[in-house]
Amino acid sequence: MTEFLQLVVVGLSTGSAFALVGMSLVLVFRTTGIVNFAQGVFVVIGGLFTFQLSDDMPLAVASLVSVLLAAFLSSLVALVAVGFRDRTTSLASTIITLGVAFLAQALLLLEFGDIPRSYPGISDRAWDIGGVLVQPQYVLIAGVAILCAVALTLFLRRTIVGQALVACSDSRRAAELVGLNIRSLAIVAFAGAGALSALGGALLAPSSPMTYSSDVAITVNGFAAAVFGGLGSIRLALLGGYALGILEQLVVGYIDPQYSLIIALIVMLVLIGWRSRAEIASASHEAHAAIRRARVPWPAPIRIGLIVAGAVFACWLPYQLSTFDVALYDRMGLYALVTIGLTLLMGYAGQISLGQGAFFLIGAYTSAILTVGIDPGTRLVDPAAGISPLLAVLAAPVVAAVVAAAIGVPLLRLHGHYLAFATLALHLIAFSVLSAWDRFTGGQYGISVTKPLTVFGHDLRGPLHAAVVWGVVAVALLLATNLVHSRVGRALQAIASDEASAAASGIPVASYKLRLFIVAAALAGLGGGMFTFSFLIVSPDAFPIVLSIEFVVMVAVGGLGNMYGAVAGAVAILYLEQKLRDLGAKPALFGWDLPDAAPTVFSFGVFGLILIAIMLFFPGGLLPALGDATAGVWARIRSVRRPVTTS
Amino acid sequence: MSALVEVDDLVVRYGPAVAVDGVSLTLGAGERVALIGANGAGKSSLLNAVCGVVRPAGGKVRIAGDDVTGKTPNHVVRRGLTQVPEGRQVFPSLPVEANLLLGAFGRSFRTEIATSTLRYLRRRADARERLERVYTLLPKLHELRDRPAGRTSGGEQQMVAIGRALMAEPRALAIDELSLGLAPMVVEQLVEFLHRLNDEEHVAILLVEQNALLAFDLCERAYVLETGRVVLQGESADIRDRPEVHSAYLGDGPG
Amino acid sequence: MAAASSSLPAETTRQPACELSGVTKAFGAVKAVDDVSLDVAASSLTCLIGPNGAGKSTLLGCISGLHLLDSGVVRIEGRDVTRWPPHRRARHGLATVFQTTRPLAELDVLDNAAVGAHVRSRTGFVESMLRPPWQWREQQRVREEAREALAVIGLEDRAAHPAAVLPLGQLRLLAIARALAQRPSVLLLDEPAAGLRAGEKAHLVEALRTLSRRGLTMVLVEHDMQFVGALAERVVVLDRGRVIADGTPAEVRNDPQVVTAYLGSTTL
Repeated sequence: MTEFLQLVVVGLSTGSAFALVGMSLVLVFRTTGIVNFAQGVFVVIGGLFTFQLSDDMPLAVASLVSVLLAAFLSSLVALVAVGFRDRTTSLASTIITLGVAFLAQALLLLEFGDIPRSYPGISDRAWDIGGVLVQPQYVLIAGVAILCAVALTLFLRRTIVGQALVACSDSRRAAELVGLNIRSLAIVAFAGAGALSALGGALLAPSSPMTYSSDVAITVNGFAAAVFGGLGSIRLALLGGYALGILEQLVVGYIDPQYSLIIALIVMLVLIGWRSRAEIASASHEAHAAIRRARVPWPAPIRIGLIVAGAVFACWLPYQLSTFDVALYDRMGLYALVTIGLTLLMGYAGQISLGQGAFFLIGAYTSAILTVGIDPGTRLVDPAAGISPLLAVLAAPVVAAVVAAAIGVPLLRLHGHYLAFATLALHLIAFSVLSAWDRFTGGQYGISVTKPLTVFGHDLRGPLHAAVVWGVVAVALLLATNLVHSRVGRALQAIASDEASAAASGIPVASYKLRLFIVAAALAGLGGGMFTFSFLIVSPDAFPIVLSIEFVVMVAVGGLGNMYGAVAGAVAILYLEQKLRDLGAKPALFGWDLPDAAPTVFSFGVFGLILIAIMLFFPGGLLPALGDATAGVWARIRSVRRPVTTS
Repeated sequence: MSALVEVDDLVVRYGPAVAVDGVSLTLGAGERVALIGANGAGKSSLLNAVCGVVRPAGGKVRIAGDDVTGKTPNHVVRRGLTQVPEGRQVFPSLPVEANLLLGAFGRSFRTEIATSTLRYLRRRADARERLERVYTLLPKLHELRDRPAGRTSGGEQQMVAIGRALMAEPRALAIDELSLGLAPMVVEQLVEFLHRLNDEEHVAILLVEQNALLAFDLCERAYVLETGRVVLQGESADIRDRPEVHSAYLGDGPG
Repeated sequence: MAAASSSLPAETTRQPACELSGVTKAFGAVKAVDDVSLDVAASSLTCLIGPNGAGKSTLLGCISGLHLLDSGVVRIEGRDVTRWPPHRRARHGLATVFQTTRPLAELDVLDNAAVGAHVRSRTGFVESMLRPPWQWREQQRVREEAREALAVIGLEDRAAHPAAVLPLGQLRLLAIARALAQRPSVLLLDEPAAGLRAGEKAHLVEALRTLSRRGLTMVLVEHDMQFVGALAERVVVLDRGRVIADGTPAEVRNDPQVVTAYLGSTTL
C-alpha cells in the first residue's frame, strides 16, 4: 500500500508539470487553432535558465526571471507561427512550431551542453507521512499547478483581455468584426503559455534533471493531458495531467520503466480517437497550403526513357565515388524510397504523416531479426534459425504493410493536427519498443548482421549495394508515376481536392486512403529492410524521432506531389546534413565550444530553420518555387508565350 | 456634403466567381437604408467588403470621408461603422455583459495589445456609462447580463449582437439578415427598437434583408440587388410595389 | 394550399427515378429537412427552390448520401439506398455536382472528366502501377467515354487544356461533364448557376436542356429564378425544411405562400 501511495505522490509531481503544459496547449489552441509542438521546450527553458541564473541570484528570483524570459521568447514564436494572414494555415503553423522545437533544441545544446541540469528544491528533507516520503517540492509544484489553473480560469473569465481570448476561440469571425486584433491576442496566448510551462519546468527540475532533449516526452504528455479535455478545457487538462502522471508512475513501479512513454502514447492515441470523433463534424479540414500548379505530364515513353536513363547513371555513379561518399549515396537512395511513398501520401491523398520513420525502423529490424534468427530465450545468434537475407529484405515491406493496415483504419479517420500527432506517436512508440523489447532488438546495442545481402551469387556491398538500391528507386519511381497517371492517381487527386465530391464520383475514399497509407508504409519498410545491409548493423541511433520530420522536410522541399522532387529532396537534404555535420564536427564555432553531440543536433537545428522557412514562404514546395522562378526567367529570355485561349 | 458611408463601384470576387459586380450606394447620417434581394444576390458579400472582412477586388469604400477600402474591420469600427453579423455570432461561452463590453474593447484596440488594454482601462468609466445606456435601450439585456450568451434565445442573441455593436458608439450600424431564424413577433419588437434607436440616438442603419417588405417598412430608401448588381433603387414608398422587386426574387413571367 | 403537379408529362408508367419518403435530417435541434416526401419522375427536370436556410442543399445531400438520415427512405431507380455510402450510390447511377466540386488543377480537362468515369472501370492499385496491356485498353475506353461527355456539354475542343485556366462558366460545365462520364441515370446539381455571368448562364441552360432531351433525370437546387423559369418543368418550394409548393414555375410564382416565404410579410 505504501508503495502504491509513494508512486501516486511522485506521479502528482510529474503530473503537475504535464498539467501545466496541457493548460498551455489549451490556451494556445483555443485562441489560435495552433497546436504548439514546441510547448515542452519552454518547460526545459524554465529549468535550464533557472539553473544558469541561480549562480547570480536566489533561486526564487532566478525562476521568476526565467519565466519572464520564457514569456518573451514565446511571443517571438507566436509571431513566426501565426505567419501571414491569408497564406498560412493552422496546420502549417503547427508544423512551424515543430521546426521551432528542433531549432530550440539545437540552441539549448549549444548553450547548456548535453549534461542534465538540476538544482536544489525548497527543502532537502522529505516529510514522512505514514511511511510515504513526500518531497516538499512535490507539494509545491502540485500547489502551483492548481493555483495556475484557478488563476488562468479567472483570467479568462474575469479580465477583459482574457475574455477577448475566449471570444477569439468562440468565434474568430465575430471577434475580428468587433475590432479585436487576432494576431496580438495570439501573442498574449503564447506568452502566457510560455510562462506557465516555464514555471512548471523551474519547479520540476529539482526532482527531474533536464537537458536539451527533455522536451519530447514532456510535450507528448502535455498533449495527452490537453486532449483529455478535447484541447478545450483548462480543468480537464489539469485532471488529465494528474491522471497521466500517476498512471505513468504506476507503470514505472509495477511493470517496467521502459514502458512509461509507450503507455502515455497509447493513452493519448485512445483519447485522440475518442475526442476527434466528436469534433469531426465541426472541424474544418483545411487542406495543406500546397498550391499545386498545372503541370503537363511527360508522355509515357519519354517518362520511362528518362527514368531508365537516370537509373543507368545512378547505378554507375557509386563506382566513381569514394567509400565515404558511397555510404552517403546509399542512404540517399534508401531515403528516396521513403519520400516517394510519403509524397504520394501527402501530395495525392492529402494525408500528413510524421511517422514514416516508424515503418523504416520496422523494415530494418524485421530484416535484421529474420536474417540473424534471434532466439528470444537465449539472445544468442542462431544462424540456422535465420532465413536468407534476400527473403528477409522482401519480408520487411510486408511486415510494414501489415502494421500499416492494422493501425490505418482508426488512424485515417483523423485529420489535421490530430493525424499529425498520432503519426508522430507511431514513431515514438516504435522507438520505445526498441528499448523495451531488447531481447529481440538488442536494445541500444542493436543487431549485428553476419550475412550480407546476396543476389544471384553476388554479395551486395559498398558500391554494388548502392547501385542496387538506386535501381530499386528507379523501379519505385516508375511504379509511382504509373500510379499517378492512372485511374487511381486521378481518384487520389480527387480525394485530395474534395472528399465529398470524390465519393460522389464513386471513389471509395476511406479504402483508397488506407491503401495509399499501406503503399507508403511498404516503401518505407523496403528502404529500412535494405538499410540493414548497408553496414550490416542496425541500432536505435539510426532511427531518431527527427528522422520522420526529416522525411517531411524532404518532401516539402521537393514539392508536394512531385515524385522527382521527392528524390531530389532526399538527395539535397542529406547532402546538406552532411555538410552541416562536417561543420559541427569542428571543435569550436563562432566562439562556442561544441559538445560531442553537436554535429547531429546542429544539423537538426538547421532543419528547424528550413522547415519554418518553407512553411512560411514556400508552402508549395521549394523546388517547384525555384522551378517556377527559373521558368519565369527562361520565358522572359525567350520572349515566347504559348497562347492560351479563353472563351 | 458627403454621405456617412459611400460605396463606389465595388467589386467582390471569390476565386473566379463575381459576387458583387460594380455596386455603388450611399448611407447618409441618420438615414435608414435597406439592401434587399434574393439569396446569392451578393448582399452579404457587399456588407463584408464594406466592413473589412473581405478585401474587394475593385472600387472604394469611404466612411465619414475616410478611405477604408481593404482595411481591417478594426479600422472600420474606429471610423464609426459596426456590424451585427448574420446569425448573430455572439460569444457563447461569455456572459452577456462580457459580450457587450468586448464591443467597447474592440473599439479601443489598435495594433498592439498592451496599449490597447491601457487605453480601454483608462476609459473604463466611459465604457460603463455606455453600458448603462445600452441597458436603458435594451432592458432585457440587463436582465440577462450574467447569463452565458449561448444560453439565450435567438431573439435575445440578436439583441446582444446589436448591443455589442452599439457599445462601440457607432455612427452607423450595418445589420446582416435581421430576421433570419426569428419569430415574427420578435422581429417586430426589434424593428420597433431600431426605429427608436434611429430617432433618439441618430444612428444610421444599413439593413441587409431577405424579407423585402420588412425592409421597406423600416427603411426610407432601398437598393434592390440581383446577381451582384443594383437593379433598382429609390425611396421605399416609391419602389415597394414595383414588379422588379417581385422578379428579383421570383423571376419574370406571367403573374 | 400547394398547387398540384398538373403540368408534368404523363410518363407515369415508368417507376420514379428517385423517391423520397418521410426524409428528416436534423442538425442539433434544428430540423433542416422535415418529413419531406417527393417522387421524381424519370427523365424529368425538377428545381428545388426556397429562401435561405430552407434546407435545399441538405435535401440534396440526403439524396446523394452525404448526410445520414434521421428517418425516412431514399430510393433510386427502385432500390433502397438509404444506408448506402455515397460511392456506392454513384455506382448505382447517381451523380452529384456539389458547389464545392473544384477542378483538379494539375490535370487537363479530359482527365478531369475522366475522374467521373471511375465507376466505369475496375483498374486497381496494382494494375495501375504495372500497366498490363488490358489495362491500357480499358483506359483508352474510359478516355473515349470522357471525351463523349465533354462533347455532350460542348467542351470537347478544350480537352487538352489544363483545367486551371478555364473561366468559371466552363469550370461548371466541366464539373457536369465529370458527372456525365459516370453515365448516370439521375443527376443532382447544387446551385450550378451561382456566380455565373449572363452569357455563361445561357450556355448552361442550353447544355442542361440538351441533357434533359436525352432523357436524363435531373434535380437542381437554385436561387436564380430566371434560370429556373427557363429550364424547369417542375418546381418544388421548400421553406424551413418542408415542401410548401409543388408545380410549374408559373403556378409556383404566384402562390401566395411562396410569395410570403420569399418576400416576407409586413409585421407592423
